[in-house]
Amino acid sequence: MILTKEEEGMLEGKFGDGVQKAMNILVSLGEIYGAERMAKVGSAHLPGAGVTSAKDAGISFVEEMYEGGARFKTWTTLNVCAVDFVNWKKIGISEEIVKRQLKLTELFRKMGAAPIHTCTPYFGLTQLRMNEHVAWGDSGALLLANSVFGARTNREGGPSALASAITGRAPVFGLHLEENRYGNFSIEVNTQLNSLADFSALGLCVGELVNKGVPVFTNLSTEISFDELMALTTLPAGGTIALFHILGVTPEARTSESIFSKGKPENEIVIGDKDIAKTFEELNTGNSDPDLIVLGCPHASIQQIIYFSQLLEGKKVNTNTRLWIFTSIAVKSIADKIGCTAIIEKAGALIITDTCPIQLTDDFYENENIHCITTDAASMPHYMAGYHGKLGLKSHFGSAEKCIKAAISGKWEEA
Amino acid sequence: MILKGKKVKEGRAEGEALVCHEDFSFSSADSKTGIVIEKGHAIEGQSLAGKVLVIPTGTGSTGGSYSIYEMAKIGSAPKAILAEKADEITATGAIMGNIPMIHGFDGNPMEAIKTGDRIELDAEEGIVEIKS
Repeated sequence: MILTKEEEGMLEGKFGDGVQKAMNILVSLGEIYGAERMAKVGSAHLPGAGVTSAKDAGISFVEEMYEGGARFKTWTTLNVCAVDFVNWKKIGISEEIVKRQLKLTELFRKMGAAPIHTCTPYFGLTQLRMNEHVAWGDSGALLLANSVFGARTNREGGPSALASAITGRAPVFGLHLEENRYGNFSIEVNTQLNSLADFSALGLCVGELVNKGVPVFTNLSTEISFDELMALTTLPAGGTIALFHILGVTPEARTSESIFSKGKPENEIVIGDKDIAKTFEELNTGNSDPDLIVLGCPHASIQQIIYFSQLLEGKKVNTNTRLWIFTSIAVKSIADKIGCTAIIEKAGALIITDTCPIQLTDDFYENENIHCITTDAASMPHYMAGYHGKLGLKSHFGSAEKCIKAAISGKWEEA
Repeated sequence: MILKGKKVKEGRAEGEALVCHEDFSFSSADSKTGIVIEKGHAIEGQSLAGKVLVIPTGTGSTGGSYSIYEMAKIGSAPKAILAEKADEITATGAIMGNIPMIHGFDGNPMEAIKTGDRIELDAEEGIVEIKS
């Protein structure tokens, strides 16, 4: 790799131990993947910012970096953590976890990040531009950074994103290079997509069929909304997908000739009613009344929150269940201001910030006696099965409207 | 039989192979024990601890690097990782956890190696010897 004088200095320890460790990680990765140089990154988004993801080893690592003088050299945001700092007691998160998380968040804050944890840093925290080199983790966030904004990031893990945040650099390989950003699968969608849940199911289904690659949706409406684009963050729950294109919508996909590296796709997939129906079926394993209904995966946009509040206005969440709406504190402050929070809380639902169901502990679910996750996010059951495999949680999956109906009636209505 | 690949993380190791034919997510394992707990997983119930893990590539949550690092610190991590192609998340975890790792083989490790095979490797040289 060819490093600048400053980068050489970082590697030699001229800027302290922390920076040296960080640069070491990036150079090692660069050498593995044949990067010729480092690029300056416009922002970093750190996965493993929660104590349940970072675990003891990750927490020690951040401490080590901080003690070694490392501070953030680029604008840095934090992915979801284990705790809602405002509502933790209300929902039953343990004080021990809160204490541990406060320590970790405080370290990040001292290094230069705002103490806000979200998987949607593009709402109110970070602006992205096309072709901007960034270093983002969180499968869904980095997918949108690449696909919808046309920025360039690889799938960053905790340590490598942290290393980029500290040095302000990322090794130029993978999706930082134009040659790796072409589509190789064409996806024709021949089914009606009515709710965000339909888009969510589509993403999971396509992710599974593609498995690895860059899918290009060839016939989605060019009037697709941002919320609908967000629902496609289920792609990486189905397969290893870090970039997708939609013809006429996403910035790199103006024409089908230009988006496929040979002018045409290497593989063609057609999605029909049966594929989506099968996905819905696979996600509906629950056979009991919904005990925890979660919306906002990824963290809900203000537009979604407004929609939820319209469905909840004047209604009451059944005492036999819980309805939690996850979002970032940045978006919640808007919801507070326009009165949505008051409507949602009056109905007996909660807006939860900084955390997500995946980040909560096994103990939490056991103590709260939760057996099933009811959601409109097709990726949620998949991640729960991995992270919380011991619990054997079942799932109900359907549109937000259906989830909210279930919250009010206390029953999951079969279609 | 000898396979030649490229170093991801240097180091020597020998141990029993554990082959997973699906792209592997380290978040599917319990980091305390190294046992794959994800229900329905191709190698559900198997322990990664002390094994030479052979995978096509890594996948799953971007939190995977910390999972690997944690397992390395606890002692529940694989002794070494062999991949057709190393993904960045797994490579980062191997670097952090000092786990010898090789990828980019001249042959296909998924075909050449069976679970239970005795493996000796030198990741700096990229050499893997299948002893049985």
